[in-house]
Amino acid sequence: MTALDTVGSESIDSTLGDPYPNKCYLPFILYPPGMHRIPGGREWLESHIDMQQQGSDFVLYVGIPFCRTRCKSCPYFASLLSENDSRGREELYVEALIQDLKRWAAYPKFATGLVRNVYIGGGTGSILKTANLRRVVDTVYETFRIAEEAEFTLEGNARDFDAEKIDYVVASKINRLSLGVQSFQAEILGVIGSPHAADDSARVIKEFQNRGFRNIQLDLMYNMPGHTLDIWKRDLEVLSTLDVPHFTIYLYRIHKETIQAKLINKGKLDRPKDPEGPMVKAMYREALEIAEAFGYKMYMVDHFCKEGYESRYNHWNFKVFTDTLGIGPGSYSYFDGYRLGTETDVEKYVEKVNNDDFLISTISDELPPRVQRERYTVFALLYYEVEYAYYRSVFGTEFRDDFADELERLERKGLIEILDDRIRLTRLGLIWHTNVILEFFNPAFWGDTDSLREPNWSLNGVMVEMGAHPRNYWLGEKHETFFPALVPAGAEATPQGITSNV
Amino acid sequence: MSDTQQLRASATVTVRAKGYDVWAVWVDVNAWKAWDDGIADIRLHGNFVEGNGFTLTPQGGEPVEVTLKTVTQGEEFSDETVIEPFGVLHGYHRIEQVGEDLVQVTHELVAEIRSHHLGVFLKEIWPDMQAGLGSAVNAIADIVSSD
Repeated sequence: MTALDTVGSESIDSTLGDPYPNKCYLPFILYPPGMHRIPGGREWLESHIDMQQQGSDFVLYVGIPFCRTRCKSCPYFASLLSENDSRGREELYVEALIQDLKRWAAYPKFATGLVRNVYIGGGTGSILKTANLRRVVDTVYETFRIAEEAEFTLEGNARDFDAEKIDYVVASKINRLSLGVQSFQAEILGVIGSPHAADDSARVIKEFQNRGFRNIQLDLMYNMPGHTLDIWKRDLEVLSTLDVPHFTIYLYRIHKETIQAKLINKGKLDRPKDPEGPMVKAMYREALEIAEAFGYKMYMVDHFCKEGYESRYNHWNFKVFTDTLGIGPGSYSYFDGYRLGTETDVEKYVEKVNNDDFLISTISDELPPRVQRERYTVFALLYYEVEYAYYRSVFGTEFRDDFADELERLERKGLIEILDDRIRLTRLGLIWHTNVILEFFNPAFWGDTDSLREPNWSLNGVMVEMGAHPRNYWLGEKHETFFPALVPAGAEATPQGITSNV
Repeated sequence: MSDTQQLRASATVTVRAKGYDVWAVWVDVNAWKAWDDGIADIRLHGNFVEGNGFTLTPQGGEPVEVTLKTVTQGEEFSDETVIEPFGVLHGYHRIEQVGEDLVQVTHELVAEIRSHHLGVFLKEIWPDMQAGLGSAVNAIADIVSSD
């Protein structure tokens, strides 16, 4: 029995066809997708949000916007930081980041709120020199109220960790490490252009474990160009020997306008296999079986952990629906019913901070109550289910009333079970989980081509591209239940995410 | 008189592209033969880091072992190849940002050739190497160009 089977045990009658006309791959969701540019800063913030109010729980995301190199199909924003760094960009950035952290924390809203989770991501969080990493961590603790049991994740790349940095992290408040491994095989890392060496990841994981640091999560990718089932099995075998308590798997995708897309389009590189084809399905099955055999549970879509090691960052962001303060270029925040984005220009960010201001570049309109409910639901479904009581405690209304039409369609297609205390994805619903999530998108967000012209970065651009389609492109007409089964086709530019903030 | 002679050739192309895209093409050594017509086969041993190497079989030639001497991610790498009985080849590869979204890609070759083999080398090997530099940087430009 696999982890998939634990989600629902009913059989799937494929002769009926597929529940949707096109399968959507969006392992990471941002909602609402559409945002628009504002010349924002302190003035906008203070005139739209009561920053003097008593704070509540929130998640703090700190963005380190640098990478050493750019992976070939990376859809994220990253500013390349030369190893020589002759212009001292890292120092300038860290200085500005610290000022920015202090400035946000000076508002009662964030000074009195309790930080439930801290995440240093990027870019590459681990790229900072140890002394700078220490300054950032110390500033977080000196300026915010951090919950005693808060999880504090440092995301990064094994290549960045020397003995000094490992020693520091182990002794610091950082209590979780997230490594972008992608593969343990040199030939695959070269194909995707990862900055680290094949044996770096295993070496660094062991060095952390030897110092007693266990809470390590790693990302693996499957179906990269040239990836075979045998290579994938080798990756999973290495994984099984490392005894890490958490891992995620991501389907590799070719993003438009990346060098990987150019290489493929010019015939210089083989296209990845069809994600609906037998090899990719076998890869997924293999991952589920390895996970099962080594005591992992798939507690949210494509996230596997051993007991007690669920990502708390995802928990607070997605399951509990907590506000997020994202600081640094390329970060997104969500609080008081607004999504706010800080654009990716590192130098502009530094300049703005040095001018005693904030860089707020894009916002969503204030989310009406309905959209906030949708936002909660699309995130909660990453955990396969929505509990009525929790929903009621947050919004004061009944989930089954608020989304009666959507639930009727999903149940008719066999994608959810409606239970007494919750709805839950069926096995078919898990296979089509992104389409299921799209059922909860607000009608106003479909066919939104205007947002394509707004500044978007990281996966928001991918979300906006998805939302630029009409609803029926992904979901069909509301009265239709089944569609002709998908014919496997070549891989196309579709979203792919590892970790981002909201 | 020195018993080795130094030969130098380089090719530079300026292209509207991102430097990191050039780097991504470089580090995927096993795929060089997809864009460099002078390579019959190539296999990187381990990762693209200093001290590692790759086996390169030129079109119509014997395999040679190439060692990575310097690797500065996103910026440059150099390599070294001993070619018996002639001497040593040093390859230098650089990316320079020369404008917004405008990069210069340079491949440079420095050959230290034993004097008594210089004649054969100049006649039979060096011309193809020189020509290969130009075609290689042009091929990279063709892949990474955003125009």
